[in-house]
Amino acid sequence: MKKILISALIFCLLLSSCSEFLDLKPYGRTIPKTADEFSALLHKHLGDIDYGTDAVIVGNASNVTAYACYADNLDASLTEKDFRKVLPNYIGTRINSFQGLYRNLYSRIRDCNIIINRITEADKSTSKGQEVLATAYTMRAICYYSLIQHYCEPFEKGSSNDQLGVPLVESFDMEARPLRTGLQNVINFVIDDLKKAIDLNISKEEYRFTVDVSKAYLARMYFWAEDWTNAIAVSKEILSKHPLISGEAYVTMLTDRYNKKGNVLLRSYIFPGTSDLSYESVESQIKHRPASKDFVDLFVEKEADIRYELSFNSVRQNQKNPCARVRSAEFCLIIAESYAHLGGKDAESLEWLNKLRENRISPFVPYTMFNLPKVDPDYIIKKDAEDKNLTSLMYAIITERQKELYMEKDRFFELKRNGRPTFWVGANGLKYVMEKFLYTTPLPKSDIDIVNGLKQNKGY
Amino acid sequence: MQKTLKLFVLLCLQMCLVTSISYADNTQKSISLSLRNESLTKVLSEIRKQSGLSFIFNEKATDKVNNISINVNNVTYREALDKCLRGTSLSYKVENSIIVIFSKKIKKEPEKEKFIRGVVVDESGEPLPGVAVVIPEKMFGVSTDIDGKFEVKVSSSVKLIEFSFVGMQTLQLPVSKDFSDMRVVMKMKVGELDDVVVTGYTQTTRRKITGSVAVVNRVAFENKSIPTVDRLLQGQVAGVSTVSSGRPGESAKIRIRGTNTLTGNAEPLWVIDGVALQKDIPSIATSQIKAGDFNNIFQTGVGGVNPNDIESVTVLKDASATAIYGSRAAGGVIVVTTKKGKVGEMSVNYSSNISVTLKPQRSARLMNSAEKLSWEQELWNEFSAEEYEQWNSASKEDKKNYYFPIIGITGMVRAGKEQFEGMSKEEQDRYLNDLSNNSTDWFDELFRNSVSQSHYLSVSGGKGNYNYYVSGGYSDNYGLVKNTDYSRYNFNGKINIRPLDNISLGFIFDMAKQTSNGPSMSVNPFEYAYFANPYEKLYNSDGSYASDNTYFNLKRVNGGYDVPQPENGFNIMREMNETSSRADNMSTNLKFNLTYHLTEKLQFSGLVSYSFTNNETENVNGKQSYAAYKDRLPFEKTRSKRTYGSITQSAANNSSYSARGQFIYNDNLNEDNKYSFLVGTEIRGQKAESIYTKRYGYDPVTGNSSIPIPVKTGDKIDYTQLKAYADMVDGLSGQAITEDRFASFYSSLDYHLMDKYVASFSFRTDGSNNFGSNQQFNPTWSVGTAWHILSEPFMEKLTDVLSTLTIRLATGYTGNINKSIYPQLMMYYDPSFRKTDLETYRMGSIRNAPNPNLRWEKTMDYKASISYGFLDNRISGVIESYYRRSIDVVTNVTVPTSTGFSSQSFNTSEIENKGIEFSINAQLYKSDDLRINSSVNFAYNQNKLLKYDSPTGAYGYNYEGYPLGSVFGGKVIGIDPETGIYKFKLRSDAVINRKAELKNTNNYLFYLGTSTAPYTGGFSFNASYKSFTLNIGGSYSIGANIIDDLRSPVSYQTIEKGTGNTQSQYESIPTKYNDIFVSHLNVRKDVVDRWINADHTGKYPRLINYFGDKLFLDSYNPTYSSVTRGALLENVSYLKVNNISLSYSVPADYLERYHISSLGFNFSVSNLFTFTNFSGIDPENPGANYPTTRSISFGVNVGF
Repeated sequence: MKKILISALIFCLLLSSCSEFLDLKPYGRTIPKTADEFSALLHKHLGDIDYGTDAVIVGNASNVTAYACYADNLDASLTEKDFRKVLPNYIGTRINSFQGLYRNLYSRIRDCNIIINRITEADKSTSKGQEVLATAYTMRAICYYSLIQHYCEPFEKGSSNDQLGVPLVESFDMEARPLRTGLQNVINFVIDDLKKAIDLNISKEEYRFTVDVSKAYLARMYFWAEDWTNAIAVSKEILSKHPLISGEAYVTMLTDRYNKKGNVLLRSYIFPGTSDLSYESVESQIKHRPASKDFVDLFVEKEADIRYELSFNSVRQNQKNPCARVRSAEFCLIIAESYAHLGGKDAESLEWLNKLRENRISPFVPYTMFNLPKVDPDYIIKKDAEDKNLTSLMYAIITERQKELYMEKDRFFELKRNGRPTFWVGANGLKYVMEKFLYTTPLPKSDIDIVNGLKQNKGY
Repeated sequence: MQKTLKLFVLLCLQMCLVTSISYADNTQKSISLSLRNESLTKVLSEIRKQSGLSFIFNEKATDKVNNISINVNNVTYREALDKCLRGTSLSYKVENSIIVIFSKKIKKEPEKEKFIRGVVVDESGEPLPGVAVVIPEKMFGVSTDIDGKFEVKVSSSVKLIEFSFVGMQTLQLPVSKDFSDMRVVMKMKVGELDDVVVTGYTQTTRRKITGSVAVVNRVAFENKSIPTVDRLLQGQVAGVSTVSSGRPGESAKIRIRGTNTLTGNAEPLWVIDGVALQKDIPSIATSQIKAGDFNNIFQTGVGGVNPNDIESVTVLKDASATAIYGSRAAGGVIVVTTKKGKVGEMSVNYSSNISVTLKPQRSARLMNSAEKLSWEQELWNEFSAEEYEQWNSASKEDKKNYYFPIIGITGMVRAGKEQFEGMSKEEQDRYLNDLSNNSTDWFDELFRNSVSQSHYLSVSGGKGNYNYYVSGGYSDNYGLVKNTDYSRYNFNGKINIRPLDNISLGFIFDMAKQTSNGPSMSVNPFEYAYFANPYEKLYNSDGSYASDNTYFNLKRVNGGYDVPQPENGFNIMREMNETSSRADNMSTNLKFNLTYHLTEKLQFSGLVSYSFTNNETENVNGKQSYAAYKDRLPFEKTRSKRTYGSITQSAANNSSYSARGQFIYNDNLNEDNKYSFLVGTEIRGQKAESIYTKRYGYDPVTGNSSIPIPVKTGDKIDYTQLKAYADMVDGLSGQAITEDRFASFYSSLDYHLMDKYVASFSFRTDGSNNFGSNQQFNPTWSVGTAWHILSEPFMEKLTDVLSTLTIRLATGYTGNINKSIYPQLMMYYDPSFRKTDLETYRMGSIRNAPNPNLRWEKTMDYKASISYGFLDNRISGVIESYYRRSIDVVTNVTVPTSTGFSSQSFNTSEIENKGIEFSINAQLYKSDDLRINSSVNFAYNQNKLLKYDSPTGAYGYNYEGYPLGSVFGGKVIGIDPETGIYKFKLRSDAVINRKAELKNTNNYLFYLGTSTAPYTGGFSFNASYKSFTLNIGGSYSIGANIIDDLRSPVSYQTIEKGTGNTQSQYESIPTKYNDIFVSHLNVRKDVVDRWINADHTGKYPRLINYFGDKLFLDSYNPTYSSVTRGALLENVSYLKVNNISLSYSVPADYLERYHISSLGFNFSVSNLFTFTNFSGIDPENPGANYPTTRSISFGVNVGF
């Protein structure tokens, strides 16, 4: 009996040493637990932004070009024959690709969730832990901001609680089958994340999403959610730290293919790399679709406006680097527009609008309420964000923004924010109509199929 | 020493065995007899029954004693024997538990005596213990000891000695004088099926087995012109489907009883001399190095084993046989046992084989120059000429409004493209006429009749307590494609020693070096040979490489933007000569095994093995090659013309080990109840490392390289460019490591009741480091029974006709680890880093959705079989049927993308494999001079995906209720005489209300068959007349359907690539037969037989110019390839005569005086006939692949 007991004991020991024998760490992969390991997940995405291979969070050249093709700054009907195959006629041609964008945004959110949920308390007190956490918060917020911009209808004051948001995933859970929450919920979530990131106050440039970038997206979110007062406050903070620049500095800021210069807070292409070839080919392709005459005509000051020659040449071929950037001018325009919406603040609005124009146009004549250009009755945007008819001031702000942020992945969302105008493109003898519903892109079909009760956007 | 060893083993026993073992005692008083006037034979058999002891006696002598009366109760056998032999002339003695009854007289006759000593072995040289060695004249005998040795002292008058043993032919040999080392080889009884079966863990006999096991013996592997084991297995065993490629050294794809996994590995497990093969090499993923840069030919299969070294191959097919191998055995197990030395004089064997492999015999039926040019002219006239004339006469501004396709050299000449600009009509005609006079048969240019040879030398022998076997082999195989070859060197050494009576040790050392050489081409030579235009040529008149004018330029001549060509153009022969890919594999295995008989019944055996594999590859792209031009550094702009070569080298090594220890306990409870019990534990592990490097600017003369730098644009160095350059350099080298470990426990129990009923049970559990702790161990088990019906008394009458009849039933449960997935959230580090101005960071990504509930894939297996034999087993075989249901099969399931993943691996699917296997071996004729044997095997496997959880119902081409590898598509009714395109059958459930529904894919989809042949098998015919032997072997595969995807490298899509948004303006092209642009390169002769109009229909449908006027046929006809692929359906059934060989062995009488023990010659032809309806070259390897082709070989073998 004793023998058996001893044998059994030894047998158990063997088994336990066996599990030790099997407890082998794999090479080249790990179950991430530490801040250092988590940072690898972030660096993957940050690296993509640095090298222009990111088409999800910030956007690269072909991404920016595609959005330019969906909007009205270029004249799709005048595309050269051979390039019809390359450049989309309108968003409808590529509408399916937005299923992929949705997937990609949620995969970025997943990485952020894993970090935010699993980072240890101990790591949270280290500077590395804070950097990782803040970056994850900002990245998650940016992804949700992008989801709102694409997959939700434009914000409507008063009904935003009932407007369809997107599924709000706060933690990594393979079993979760979340439905779309109210739009306002998602907006609040984004604001909350950004505030958490701002509280962590990281400034290490390597992480790209510094406290200033978090603020910039906070301002963008407030602006999209028509929270004009807060949009103004945050935008002013940004502008005070990163003032507008003009002249040669402005030109280099926009023409430098890589390097973050001037008041650019965030951009893709920090370094050249494998995506260079596609950058170049996109630049050459887009030359085969001229800028629309209406857009060119908006530059009434012609060469006196530094942006005129920066944007296109005499035959309306694009000259500007297609590059997604977050930079101060946008916030100056946010302030101007927000004041205009607030009512009774036209003077402030004009002041900020002139501030931008002053940096771009020389010789410069400031706008006053009396010399503002008349609203062009043919202008594509008829209603502003609050669904009001365009005032001269609003018209001036919107067109100013159109000129300033041309080829920076902005115009498509501007159209969406301001009444979702319909327009059409003629190609191959067919008429491609940019319908209102197309501004809100479809959720992946597979998600609608799998998740009970998940609603698809109208029109799909 | 012996004591220490004993102590150690006992200690081990104590550690691992919790069960206590009781010893049966033969001296116990258990005999009770009450008999009157019985014959001694009867009395002895009664004692035998009660005691379980074995007796040796001469019935002639014992039958004479027939008046024994005995009445004893509970006495020992000795007491009983003493009593019944009292008063007779007989006595007894006990030798190795065998009681030998002998006549007393002999002992008393000492006058003249002689000693006969010797050893008795079986045909394979294994010593046979317990053989009765009897002197018939004197009714006296002994039995051989555990080493098969015996020693008898007999009077000098004795002339004969007889050897008998169960299952063996009784042997009578003359004796004349003293024999001190007589070597007796006993042969199996004719038709006796009870041969030894090696299962890797144990060695048993066919009669004791309950599982599905097939043994292929050495005859199938010796002196064959095919150098690899896996290819030689083709058609040998029912239910083992082998698809081999003609590429030298490439391993065949083997499936045993169907596929039972969707995403995991379905290959069988190879076990060589008891050790499972493990030689994984980590895969290398890097952006800078392309997949084709690594030659992975040696990473699978058993290419390193020389078939001549093989003693036998055992295929374990069902769970009952494989469960003891645990999780790796889900795809079946192939156990290879190599030869070992035999006790006796040293014997030397040499064999050699030379064979010639012929170019592909089956013609591709392609056009020659004249035919192709006239075809191009026909297309030009029909689709281009008119528009061209208008274009020609149009003003410069208007020219862009005209469009005409340019097809082939005729199109280029007629349209005055590129070098043909400005040619007059006469010059054009002359040029084309010149071209038509020369036709290149690319199959002739690129392929060759290749010569292969093999040599094999073995030395073996042994004495007393040791034997040895040493062999060396060399074989080389020049491939069908020029510049490809394969060579292998083998060395194999084996020593078995028995230092003590109860210990035997074995050492095995083997080494194999394999080398494969070939060009490293970006263009598949088979594809090129098929599609290159016949009017293109290899060399210019000055002997320099001619540039192919058409292969790559369809897009360019038709106005597309194309990647430019190197200045010297493309030439396939330059590619073959100036690029190279070499793989070198060296593997060394060391094995040590020990068997220790602790007691007569308990035995410990241990096996330790270590193997080291080194795999080196080298890939060179010469400076002038197109491959080098295509593979330039990323900073080369499209306009850049400069070229430079590159070399990619990788070195990977894998070291693996395994160790196991097991106890085997054999006991006979009594005559009728026998059992053996095995328990063991095994650990194994492997570590593999690979490093790789690529060097651009490689100079083959010095072996060094000078990496190119971007062209200088100014004096300033751009920091960002510098960084990009550093990134690129980083990507040129790296390493990868994998390591895994397993620990297993296993046991088995065999029980035999009255030699009629067999029951067996086996169990194993494997733990791996692959899974999380909750799923770390996976149990597999099996139970089986066998019933030898003929041993039943009621069958006795049938034994005249029937010689074997056994029913076997077995079931079991096996598991499979799907290595591609992890249950945990696993982050994979990127091979590259994120580099910023200041620092370098690791990057990681989560590739797969984790699934903590992930389990092993499990297969429940049931089988029933009948082994039969008639007329002394002159006709014998097995009929088996099986049912295997695999559950928890891992597939990817679509999940909501809000989880961050689009799919997740789940144990959701179920696969069913059921089938029947049938084999028959017949000895058709047998006389002293002539023997004719034949065998046929047949297997039917039905594979079905039972459950497939996918919300969309389909994943790839897998549909629930259909086999894996199903082919779906439209059913062709014929060519519509009105439209000229294929008409497809509408489904009966199709509802057509609108025109658009006429083109809806779902209204046309049918199940068209499976690409995995359900019926497979093989046959062989063997006739020997005197010293001549004729052998014919073949295999067949019936019922597989494939979509003939031999797609031309050019099509309308070549011109259109990268689009997708303007399709509606062009006419859809339903199949490749409709596309005019395919004719830019070579096509089959018969394509001219096509639909032209309703009155002129043909074999092929109408031709459509994708860019021409829209026909609107696609608005009411299905045009998606998922339907139209049905038009390309081909049946790839075939019957192949794999081998016909004739051999002659020189009669021994002639050889004796030259001290040669054997001399034989053989002549064989491989792949002589293939019967198939398939239109391509090789039905076994459809597509542009390396085909298996005919070869003729001559061999000689000699033994000393």
